[in-house]
Amino acid sequence: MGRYLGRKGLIYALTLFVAVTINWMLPRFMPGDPISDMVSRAGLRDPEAAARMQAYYENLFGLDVPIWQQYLNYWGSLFSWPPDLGISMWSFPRPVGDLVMGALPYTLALLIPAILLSWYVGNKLGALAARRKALDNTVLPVSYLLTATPYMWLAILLVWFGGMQLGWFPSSRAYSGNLVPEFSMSFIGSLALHWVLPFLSLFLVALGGWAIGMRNLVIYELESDYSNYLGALGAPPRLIRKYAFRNAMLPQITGLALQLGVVLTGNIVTEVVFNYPGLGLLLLNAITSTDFFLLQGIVLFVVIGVLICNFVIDIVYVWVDPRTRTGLQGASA
Amino acid sequence: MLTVDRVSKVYRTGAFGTNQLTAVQDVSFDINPGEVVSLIGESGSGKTTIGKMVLRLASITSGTITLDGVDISTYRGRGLKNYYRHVQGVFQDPFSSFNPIFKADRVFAMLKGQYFSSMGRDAWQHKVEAALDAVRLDPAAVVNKYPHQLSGGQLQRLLIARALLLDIKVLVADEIISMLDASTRIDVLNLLAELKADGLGILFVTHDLALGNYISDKTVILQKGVMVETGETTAVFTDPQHPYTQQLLASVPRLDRRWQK
Amino acid sequence: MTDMKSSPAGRSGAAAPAPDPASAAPGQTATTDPLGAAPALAGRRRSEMLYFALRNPKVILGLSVIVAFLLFGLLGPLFSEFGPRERNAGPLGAAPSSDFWLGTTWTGQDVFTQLAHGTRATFQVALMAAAISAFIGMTMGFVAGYRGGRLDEILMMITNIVLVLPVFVVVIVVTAYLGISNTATQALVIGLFNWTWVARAVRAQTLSLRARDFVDLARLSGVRTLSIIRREIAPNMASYLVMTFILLFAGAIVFAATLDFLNLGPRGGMSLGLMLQQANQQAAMSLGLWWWFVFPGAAITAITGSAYLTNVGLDEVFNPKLREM
Repeated sequence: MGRYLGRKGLIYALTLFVAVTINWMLPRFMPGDPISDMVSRAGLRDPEAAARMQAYYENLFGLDVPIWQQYLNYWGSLFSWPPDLGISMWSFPRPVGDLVMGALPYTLALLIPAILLSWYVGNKLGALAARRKALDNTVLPVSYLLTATPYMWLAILLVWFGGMQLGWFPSSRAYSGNLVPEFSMSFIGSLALHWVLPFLSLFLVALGGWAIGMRNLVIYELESDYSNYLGALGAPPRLIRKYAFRNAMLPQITGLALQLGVVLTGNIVTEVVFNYPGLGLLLLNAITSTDFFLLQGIVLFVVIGVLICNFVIDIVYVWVDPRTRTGLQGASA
Repeated sequence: MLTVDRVSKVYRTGAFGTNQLTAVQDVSFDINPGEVVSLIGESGSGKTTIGKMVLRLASITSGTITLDGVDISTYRGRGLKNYYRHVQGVFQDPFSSFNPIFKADRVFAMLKGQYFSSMGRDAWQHKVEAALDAVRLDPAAVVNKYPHQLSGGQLQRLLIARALLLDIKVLVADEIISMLDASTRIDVLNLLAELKADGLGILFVTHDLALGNYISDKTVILQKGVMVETGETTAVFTDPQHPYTQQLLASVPRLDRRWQK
Repeated sequence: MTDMKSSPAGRSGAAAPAPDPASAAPGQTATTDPLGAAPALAGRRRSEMLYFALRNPKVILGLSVIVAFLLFGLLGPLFSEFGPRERNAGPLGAAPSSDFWLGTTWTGQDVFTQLAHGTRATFQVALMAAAISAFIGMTMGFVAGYRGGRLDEILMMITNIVLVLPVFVVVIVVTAYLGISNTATQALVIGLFNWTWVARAVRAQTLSLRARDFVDLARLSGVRTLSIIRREIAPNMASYLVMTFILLFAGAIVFAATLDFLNLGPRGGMSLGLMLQQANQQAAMSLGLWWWFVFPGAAITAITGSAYLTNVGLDEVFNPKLREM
C-alpha cells in the first residue's frame, strides 16, 4: 500500500513541478512582452502612471535577477504563507489569491454535488440497465446522447428553456442582484434557486458517461468465469450481481479521477453561460483582459486542487481494492 | 562451435529496476556440429532464458556466448542478421509463433525479403519445396493456409523448414514438441535426429527427462538458474551425482511400472 | 487494470480522459484481455470484417451522419452567397424561412452559412488534431510497450503526468499566451495534449502482443524493430486503432468547440464553437433566437454522438460475443 501511494505521490509531485514550471516559463519565454501588453491594455492615459505600472510589474516578475534565481523565487513565493500569486490587473489592486478564494466556494458548490451525484446516480442507473432489457433500451441511447452533448450547449439550452421559456429558474449570476451576501433565508433561497440550472447542466452531461460505463462493466462482470461458476454452484442471482457490481465499481473509481479534468472544463463553460461567479468565470475574465497573474493563479490553484482530489481518490481506491494493500499491484500507477 | 561460457541473466523488476531477479547463473556448455545438447529443468529453471540468450532475444548480463570464436553480443544490424543465418530457433507454442491474421507461409516470405531478395521466383519456389520436403510436408497442404487451418505438428514442421531455408549450424528447439499430440511428437523428434545426422547442432530445451535421454548427446540439468549437473547424457542418466538429478530421475513415471500406494 | 477510462464515451473531449475504444467493457477488456478483438480477427480476412461492419446498423447510421456532415461542410458553403461573418446579409434576428433556411443572427448574419463554414472548420481541426494525438499516443504506446524497461518507465511517467494534469486548463493558458492564429495551430495544441489514454491503451496491447512468439520469429528473420511494430504488431490491433482514431476525432471536436466558446479559437473564420460563443455573448437566449444556438450545438452533438455510435457498432463487429446481447 505504501508503495502504491508512494508511486502515485511521486507522479503528483512531478505533475506539480511541471505545471509550476510551465506557468513560470510561459510569460518569460513567449514571444512578445506580456508586461507592456498588460500595461497598454490597462489603458492608462497618464504615461507616467503607465511607466510606474511597468516598473511595478517588472519588479514583481523579478526580472532583474538571474533566470535561475527568478525560478527559485517563484517557487519561494508559492510556498510563502499566504501564497503570493501577484496582483490582479483586471480587478486592480486586489491580490490574485483573494479573487480566487472569493470565487472558489461557488465553483465547489457546483462541482462537488455535480460530480458525486452524477457518479452515484449514473452508476445506479447503469447497473439497473445492465439487468433490465427494457430499461437498457431507453437508458443507453439517452446516456449516449447526454454524453455527446457539449457542456456549453446544454447550459445554453437550459438557460433558454428553463430560464427564459418556462421562467422557472433564474439563469444568470449566483444570487439576485438586489441582495447582499448574508446569512438570511431570502439570500440562501436566492442562492439555491440560482444554483439549480448550472448544477443540472453539469450533472446531466456527466451522468450519461457513468451510466454507460457501469452498464458495460456489469455486463462484462456478469459474463466472467467467476460469475458463471457462482451460477453453476447455484448461488442466487442477487449475490452474483452484488459481486459483479463490486468489481465493476473499481474502474469507476479510477474513472472518477480521470474525469476530473473533463468536469472541470464543463464547469468553466457552464459558469460562463450562467454568468456564475466561480473560477470559470474568473478565468474567462482573466483571458479577456489578458490578466496573466490572475490566469496563472487560477491555473495553479486548479492544478493543486486536481492533485488533491486524485490523491483522495487513490486513498479511497486502496481502501476498496484489497490488492493494492497486499502488494499485488491491483492498480498500476 | 557454439560455446556458452559462464553466462548469467539478471532481470530488473519493480520501479526503476530496484529489485533484481537472477534467472540464470554461471551456465556453461558447448554445442558441436551434429550434437544435441539438452537443457533440462522444471519451469522457472531458466532454460528458456538461455535459449533466448543464444538467439539474442534476451541480453546477456554477464559471461559470453561465442559462435566459431566470435562473441555474439557484439553483433549489430547486418552482423546480427548474418548471425541469424546460422543460428535459428523454434518455439514451444506453434500457434503463438504465427501471426494469426496472416497466412502461415508468410514466415517464408519474411525470410525471402530479408535474405534472398535477389533470388528469382522459381528458384525460391524450389528452395521452399525442398525444405518442405525435408520436413515431410506436402506443399499443397500447407501453402496459402491460415495458421488456424493447420495442425500443431504441421506448424512446427513449417517452422523447422523455415530454419532450413537458411544456412543453419545451430537450432534452438525450445520445448518444440510439448504441445503436440503423441503421434506427431515422434515424427518431429525423428526429424531432429535426421538433421543432427546431417551435422546440425541442436540445443534441445525441455522439461521432459525421457525426451532428453532419447535424443541428446550431452545433458545440462538446471535448477533455479544454476547448472547442477552436466555431462554425457548416458553418464548423467545412469549415474547422476547431484541429489536434485537423482530425485528428478526417481520421480519419472515409467512405462513398465504402475502407480502403487 | 483500471488504467483505462471506464465511461467509454467518457466525454473524451476537453481534458482528455481515457475512453477505451473497446467500449463494450472498457476498463476491463483493455487490460485483462487487451486483445479482445484479436482472436476474433484471427485468420479472418479483413474484407470479411468490412463486410460485417458495413452491415451493422449502428455503424451504418453513425457513419452516414458523419459523412453527411462532412459533405455539408465541404459543399454547404457553395450554396451560400454570403460570408460567414457578413453582417446584414438578411433581416436582423429572423426566424428560419425559405430565404434564410436556418434564420439569421442578431446582426443579420446567415446562420446556414455560418453552420456550413463552421462544420468545415470543425472537421479540419478535429481530423488534424486526432491525427496528431494518434501519432503521439501510438508512438509512445508502441515504443513503451515494445522496448519495455527503463524507456517504458520514463515514457509512462510522462504519460501519467500529462494524464493527471488538468489538460484543458493548461491549454487555456498556452493559447492565451500564444494566441491561436489558425486552425492548424489549434489542432496542434489539442493534439499535443490529448494523447495520454491512447498511449496507455496501445502500450497495454503492444505489451501483450510482444510476448507472442511471432514477434521473436520476426526478429530471428532479421526484420527491424520498426517493421516489426508496423507489420506484425499494428495489424493485429488494426480494429482497435481505428476505434481509437474515431474517439480522438470526437474528443477533438468537443475540445476545439470548447476553446472556441471561450473565444480562444482562431481569429477570423467561423466554427461551431464560435457560433455558440457569439450566441451566448449576444444573449440569443433572452432574445429568443433559438435557431442561432440550437443548430450549431445540435451539429456538434450529432457528430460526436455518431462517432460514439460508430464505435459501439464497430466493437460489436470486432468482438462477436457482444452481438448476442
